[in-house]
Amino acid sequence: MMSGLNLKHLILIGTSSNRNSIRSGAGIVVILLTFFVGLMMAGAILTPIEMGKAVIGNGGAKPSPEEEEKMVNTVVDGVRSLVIWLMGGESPFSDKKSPEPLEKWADYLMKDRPALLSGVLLLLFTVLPTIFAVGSFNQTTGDIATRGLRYLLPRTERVNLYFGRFLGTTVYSLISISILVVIVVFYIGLKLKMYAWGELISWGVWALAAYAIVSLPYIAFYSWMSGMMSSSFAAFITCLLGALYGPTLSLFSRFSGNLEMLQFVGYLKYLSPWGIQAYLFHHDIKMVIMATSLCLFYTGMFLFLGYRRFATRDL
Amino acid sequence: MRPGGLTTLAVINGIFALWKLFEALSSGVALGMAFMVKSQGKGPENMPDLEEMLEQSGMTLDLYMINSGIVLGVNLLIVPLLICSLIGYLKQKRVLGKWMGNLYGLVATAGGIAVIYFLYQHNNNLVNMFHVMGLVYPLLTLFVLNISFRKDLVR
Repeated sequence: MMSGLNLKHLILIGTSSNRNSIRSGAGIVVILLTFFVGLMMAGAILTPIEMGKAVIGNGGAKPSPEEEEKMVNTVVDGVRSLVIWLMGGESPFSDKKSPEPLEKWADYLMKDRPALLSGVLLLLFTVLPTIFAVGSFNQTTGDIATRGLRYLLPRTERVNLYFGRFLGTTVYSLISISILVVIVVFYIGLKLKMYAWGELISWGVWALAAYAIVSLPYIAFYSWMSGMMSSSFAAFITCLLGALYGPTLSLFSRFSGNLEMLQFVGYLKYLSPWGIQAYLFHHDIKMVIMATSLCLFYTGMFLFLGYRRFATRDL
Repeated sequence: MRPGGLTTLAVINGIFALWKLFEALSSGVALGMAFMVKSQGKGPENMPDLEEMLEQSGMTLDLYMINSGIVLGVNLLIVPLLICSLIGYLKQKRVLGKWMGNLYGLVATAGGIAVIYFLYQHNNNLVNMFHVMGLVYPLLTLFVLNISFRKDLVR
């Protein structure tokens, strides 16, 4: 099934697919979307602190350490509630306390790690599948629709086309996300000066590794959809639905409240990486290894299903 | 044949030109109001006190006027550049597309850095993530014009 796999061809196809994605405009849109959405999310968490400091230190007067600490703690408490909610705990507006393990997890993210960076990184985690979908839906579908792949088939095997484009798209998405994370880390380090550089950089590197692991199953799923459809629009809508599958089910299961008959819907989210991806930021290394293994399992499964269809379809 | 990316850049240029035009207009109005407050000691009637509002957000009237002036000046420069390069991208022109696009990238980046530097010098908490966002498109324009589309804007 995988005969004809050639590393040189994979690299060549991956590189030219990235070049073409910028020249066709899709790559430009992906970069802009990644940066605008990512920086806006970072701004949503960091701006309250900056505005608070600006007001306290109005007219050039330096705020007292007590004033500054009090204001920073207020914002960090807000970010902590948001983080707990993102991980499946109680809403920030609820009086109920979240389960103990979740509180411990949140403490790890907020106290043992740079709290503001954790907030930004987890918030980014929620939009990554959608950003990946915009960058990945057209891996093969456009060329299938225009019959463009026929010109490549005499020169290389289908397996190189499929996996070369998958690798190219993954590298492209990760480069955009890496630049974004570097900007956020440097911004927090240079501007807010609240954390040591070592803490910020190590947490940023961890986040990049987590993003790289979580990008694989999503982009593999989008490769499958892209290779299966003969219309770019249909592939785009399907990929977008795939990206929104996890968040929608999570929200649905929450708003179903105590209706036990509907609670099983929440478990359906584990059919996609959405249900496990947050565990890549867990304090227990066993949970991180479990989440990584599951992400790799999903990647393998989606790639297998996708290539099985692509290998036999009419191009 | 024109690459799709140049059409995309042209569309994004159009959106940014409109955005920057509105930003220039609002900076002009803000500057006018600030001059009025500075010269007459009060703003238009039935309007909240500008100086008090600025104080609440950690700014002074002078700082606000200089900041609005820089934003107005930079935007008035870059709106025509965005429109010229939009036409240049669509017609694949060397001067109108490549040169004007590069000039836009340089002016917008320099203007963005000037605003950040100026605010940072006065009160570093006035600089926020949205100022960094303003640098993304000019830098991306410089990158794609000189790397991805360097051989496409030659007419």
